[in-house]
Amino acid sequence: MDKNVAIEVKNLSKTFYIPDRKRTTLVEYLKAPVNAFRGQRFEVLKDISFKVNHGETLAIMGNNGSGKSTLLKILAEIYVPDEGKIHINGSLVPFLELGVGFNPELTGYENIYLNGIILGMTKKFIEKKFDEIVDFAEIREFLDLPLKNYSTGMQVRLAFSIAFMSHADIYLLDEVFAVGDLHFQEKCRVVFKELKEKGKTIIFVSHSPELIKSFCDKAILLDEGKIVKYGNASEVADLYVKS
Amino acid sequence: MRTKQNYIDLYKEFFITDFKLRYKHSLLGFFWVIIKPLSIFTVMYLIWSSVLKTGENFALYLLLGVITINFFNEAVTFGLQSLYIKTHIILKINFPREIVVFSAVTIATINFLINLGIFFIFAFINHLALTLPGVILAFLGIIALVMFILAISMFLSILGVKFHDIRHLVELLLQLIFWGTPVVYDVNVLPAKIRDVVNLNPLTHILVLLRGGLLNNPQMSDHLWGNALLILVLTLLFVIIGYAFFKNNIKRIAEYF
Repeated sequence: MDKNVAIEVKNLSKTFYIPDRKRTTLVEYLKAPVNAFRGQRFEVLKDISFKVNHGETLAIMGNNGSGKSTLLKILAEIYVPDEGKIHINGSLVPFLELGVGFNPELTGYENIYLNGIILGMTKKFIEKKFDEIVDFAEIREFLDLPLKNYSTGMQVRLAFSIAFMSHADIYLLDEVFAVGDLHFQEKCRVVFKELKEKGKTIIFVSHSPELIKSFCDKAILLDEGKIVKYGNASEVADLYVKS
Repeated sequence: MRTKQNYIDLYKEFFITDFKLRYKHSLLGFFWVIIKPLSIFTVMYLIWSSVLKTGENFALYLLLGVITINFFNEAVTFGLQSLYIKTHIILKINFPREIVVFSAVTIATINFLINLGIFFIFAFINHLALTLPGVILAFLGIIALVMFILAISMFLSILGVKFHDIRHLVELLLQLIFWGTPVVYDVNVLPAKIRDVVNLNPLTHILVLLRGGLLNNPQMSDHLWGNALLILVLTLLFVIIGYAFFKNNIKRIAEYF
């Protein structure tokens, strides 16, 4: 594979099988031979192909239910594709949600370690970066309080500060910018710019055409699991606004 | 990129936080670990020692049985729930999922070791003589027991996500297994037919190793070593099969939540 390519997706398809009634009990399974094929096949992604080079930023756009999140989850290796191939060149950290594993009962201090380690950091690394995380999140005086006593803004800030410490070549972001107040969104943009300047590859889902126009190189517009348009970010964003 | 060190940290982080959360906001906290088996033991001792003609060291015999079966119940239950209670993390990020099962079994194992400590305190008070070979035999038994539980958890964690009835089934089976294991009684007093059934239960043989090693030292028979070896080999085999099953099914597990 070409060394410049960070992610290459070829003819990717994913189908979810949705039974008429969800069979999750044993008896229903024993009856399965009779009605195993009843139900609906739901093709979430159909024949998706694209390529992202190192240092590029790709936006994935589309209405709700168009398959954006499923695509992101397949790239994050949470779902397995049914058909097609994915090549990932480099280390990848997914942010499908900020603060994965956060527990409201644990203190801010404990949650920093929990979340950081879940994101792939080592304990030693977090120890080294601890002060930086706490300062960026501006929560030092609340470190020993359980997370449930934090305001939503504080929680998001903390989650973001931890996420920002992770080192990877490729970042997957699922509408992370939609959270937080204006001040925080501004902060996010600065971080985003920094990542870009460092030459990181970013794939992100967004509904905001202006954000995409200002940050992304390429974009994909999905509709009902198919790529409607793939190419220059501002062209795709314009098409999305029109549709 | 996840490193080996991250896997180790993740394993530790999972069982330490789960352990913390389990006893948060409870007054007695950590003491629940020993309160549960000890109170079951006390009630059973009071009843059975007045009903049965009990032999020497019956209290220690029963205590070891209760602690062991309690470990089995708890560990299997934790193992069953292990993947399910981590749904919110599994659906958001990829990591070696078996870590979740390992950490669940570890929590139960730590609880067991603490209770075993209590057993040794009682044994000391009762002037029970321990011998090195006896302790080694019991240790082999514990290793076999942990492997047995791990293998079961590998199956149950997956099945518990795919079929929700498994939880009720396991609850029922655990109660049946309690009576199918010589916790209170001695296998040899059973009629031949029932004894054959109880002997099919691997826990019976593991318990015989533990008791043989820790309680019946003077007459610890040599055939127990052969048994220990056989049980170790079989449980190891079971772990390998369980792991293969787990690996085979885990890839698509996110679709079943």
